[in-house]
Amino acid sequence: MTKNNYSQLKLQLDQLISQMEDESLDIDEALKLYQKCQSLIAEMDKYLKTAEVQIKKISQDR
Amino acid sequence: MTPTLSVSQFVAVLNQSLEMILPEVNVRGELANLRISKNRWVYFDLKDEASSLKFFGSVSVLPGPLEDGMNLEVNGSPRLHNLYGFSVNVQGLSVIGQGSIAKAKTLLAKKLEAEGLFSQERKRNLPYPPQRVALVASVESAAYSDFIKIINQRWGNLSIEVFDCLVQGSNAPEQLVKAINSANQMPDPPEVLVMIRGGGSQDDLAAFSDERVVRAVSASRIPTVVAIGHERDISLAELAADQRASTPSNAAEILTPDKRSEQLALSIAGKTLRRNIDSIIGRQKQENQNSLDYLIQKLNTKVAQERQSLSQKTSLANSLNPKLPISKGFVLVRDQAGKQIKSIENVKIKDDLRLDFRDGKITSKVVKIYDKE
Repeated sequence: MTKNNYSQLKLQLDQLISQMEDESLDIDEALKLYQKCQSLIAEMDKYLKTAEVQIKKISQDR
Repeated sequence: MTPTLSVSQFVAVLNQSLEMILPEVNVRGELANLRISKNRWVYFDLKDEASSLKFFGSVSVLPGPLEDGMNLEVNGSPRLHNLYGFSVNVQGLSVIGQGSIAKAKTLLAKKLEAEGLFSQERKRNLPYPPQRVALVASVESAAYSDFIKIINQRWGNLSIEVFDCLVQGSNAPEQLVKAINSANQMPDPPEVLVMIRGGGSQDDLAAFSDERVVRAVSASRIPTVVAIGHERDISLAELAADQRASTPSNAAEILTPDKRSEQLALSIAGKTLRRNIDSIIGRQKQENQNSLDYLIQKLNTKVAQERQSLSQKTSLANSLNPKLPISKGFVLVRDQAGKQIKSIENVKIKDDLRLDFRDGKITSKVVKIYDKE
C-alpha cells in the first residue's frame, strides 16, 4: 500500500469529520470514526514535525 | 660606283639595311595628326622643332586616350613600305613629360570614370586577415622588401604568391597585366591581389595609370589592394582597386593585424571576461541564496498554516467525540445484545437494558413507559 501524502490525509480527515457530524450515526460506529480521526491526526502531526525538522536542516546547511 | 636599282629593289635594300643597323629604336617627340582607323590601327606623327616622322601600329599599344600636343616616347622598327612610304612600326608607346603624362591621365580618368570603373559600389571587402595573397611587384625593389618585412613583423601567418614583373618603363604595363591575369587564372586563386611599387617620378609611375593595367585591376576576380608609394598623386590603378594603400608598408598594415596588439587585446579581454564571469557567478550565488531564503520562509509559513488547520480540525473532531455526552453525565442505553437504544419505541415493559455511565455499567428492567411529553 502506498503511503498517503499530507493532502490525502487531510482529505480523509475532513471526510471522517463530516461523517461524524451525522446525528443518525450509531455510537459504536461514531466511536470507530472517532478513533480513525485520532490516528489520522497523529499521523498528520508526525508529518508536520518531520517537515519542520527538514526545513530546519536546510536552513542550517546553507 | 653608284648602284642602279628598281624601286622594289631599293625598298628591299633599304629595309635590309635598316634591319641591320637600326632594327629597333626609341623616338621621342610631340604627338601630331593622331588618327585611329576602324578601331584597329593607329596612325600619328611625332615631331620636333625641325622634323616630323610617321608612325603606324595597332590600337592595343595605346596606353590610353591621347591628344595632339602630348609628348611621347615610341618604341618601334623603322620600315620603308613599298606603297605607303617610310614609317616606324610601333611596338610600344608611353607618354612622357609631366604635362603630357598628366593630361593623358586626366583624359583616361574621365573615360574610365564614365564607365564606372572607379565607382564605390564596385568596391569589395577584403578578408581580414587573408591566408593567401598574390603579390605583383618587382622583387628587386625596396617596396617588395618593405612589404614582406612588415607582413612578417605584424602577422607572419600569410602565404604569399609572388608575381615578379617590371613596374616602370614601356614594357611594364604588359607585364603588370600578365601578372594580374596569371593570378586570376590560378585554379585556386589567393584571397587578395596586392600590387605595389615605391615612389618615383610621374614617368616612373605611368604604368599604373595605363589603361590596360587599370582595366585589368578593375576586372580582377580577386579583390585588389594597390599601393603606389606616391602620396601626392594617386594612380588610376589605385582608384580602380578595391582598396588603396598609401605605401607598400601601409598595404601590409591594411591586410593584417599586428599580432602584438592582438595578443595584448586578447589578454585584456581575457581578464575582463574573467572579472565578468566572477561577477556573474557572485550575483548568481546571491540570487540563489535569496531564493533559498524565500523558499524556507514560504515553507515555514505553509507548515504553520497546516498546523493551525490541523489544530482546528482536532478541536472539531474532539467536539464530536461520542463519549463526550457520557462524560458530562448522560447515560448510554443499550439492549441486552448491546445495541444502542435511542427511542422508547424500541423498548417494551420487562425488557432488560444495559446502562453505560461514565464510571461503569448497570443492568435494569423496564417497568413503565412514559409517553413523550
